[in-house]
Amino acid sequence: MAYNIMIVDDSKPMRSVIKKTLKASGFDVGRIYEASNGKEALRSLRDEWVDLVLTDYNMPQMNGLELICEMKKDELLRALPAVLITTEGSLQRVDEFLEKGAAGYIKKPFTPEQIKGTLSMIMGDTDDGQEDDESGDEGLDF
Amino acid sequence: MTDKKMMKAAMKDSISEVLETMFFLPLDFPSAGDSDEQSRLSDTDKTITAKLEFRGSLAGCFVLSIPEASALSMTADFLGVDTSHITEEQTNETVKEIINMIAGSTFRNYNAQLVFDLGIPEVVHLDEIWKSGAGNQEEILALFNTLEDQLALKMVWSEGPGPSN
Repeated sequence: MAYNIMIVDDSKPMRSVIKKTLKASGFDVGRIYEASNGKEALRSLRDEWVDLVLTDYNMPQMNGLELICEMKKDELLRALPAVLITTEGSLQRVDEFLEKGAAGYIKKPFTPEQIKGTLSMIMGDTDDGQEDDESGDEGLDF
Repeated sequence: MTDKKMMKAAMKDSISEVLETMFFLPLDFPSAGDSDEQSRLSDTDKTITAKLEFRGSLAGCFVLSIPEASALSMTADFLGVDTSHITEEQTNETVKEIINMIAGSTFRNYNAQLVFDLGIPEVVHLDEIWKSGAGNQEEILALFNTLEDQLALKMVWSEGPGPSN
C-alpha cells in the first residue's frame, strides 16, 4: 500500500531531503504534501487525505509537538500517526514526545534505512522486518 | 559542572556524524593550537556563518562557519541538484540545518539526560566565530577540514537556568 505523507518542516531544503530520503528508502510512498509549520499543516490535513505525518519539532508559529497536540484534539485527525523528525534527543524530551501522542521519532541526521525501519514499524509494514538497532530511533506500536 | 573535554569530544563526534551521514564528507581534525589553520578561515573572503542559541542545563550558542564554495557544493549534495540551480536562500537554509543537527547531536552525545531548548538558527557575520564569550562563559572552537576547505564550529556557554517549560 502506498502511503500519502505530509512533511512539516520550516526548512525547505530539509523538506526536500526528507522527500528524497523517503523515496530512496524503499518505503511505499504515494503523494507527498508539504507544510512549513504546524498551523499550515493543520489546514492542509483537513483538506487532504494523508496517512502519515512527519514533522520537525523546532519550528516558528507552531512547533511539532503543538501540532501533534492539536491533531489529538481533532476528531478527524486524532488517529493519524505523526512522527517527529528532530535534532532533539534528550531522553526526557523523547518521553514527552511519546507521552503527548507522537507515534515515534527519528533523530537527525538520519539514513534511508532508519526512516524505513521506523515508518514500517509504525505503519505495521513488517514484511522486511528492518530495524536498525543503532539508529537511536524509537516508535510505539500503532 | 560541564566537562569541557567530554563536550569537545561530543562536538567532534557530532560534526563527523552529521557531515558524514548526510553529506558523505570525509573530515580531518587538525591538532589543537594550530594558528596557521585558524588563519586560513580568517582570510577566507566569503563564508556563510550561522548561529544557534540554546538554553537549558547550559545556555549559550553555537556558531558554524563554512566557506561559501563548500556551502554551495554541500547544498547541492544535500538537495541532489546541480550547483548552478542552487539559490543563496537554499545555501543559507542548509547551513542553518547543519548547525541545528550538530547542536542537537552534540547535546545527545554529551549527555542524553540533559534537556535543552534550541532556538531558531540565523545567518550572521563571520566575526561571530572569533568573538570571545563573556567572563563567566566557557568556549570551545573546533576547526576541521574537508578535502577543499576549512570549517569552524564554536560553542560558547555558561551554566543555564534550565529549559523554558
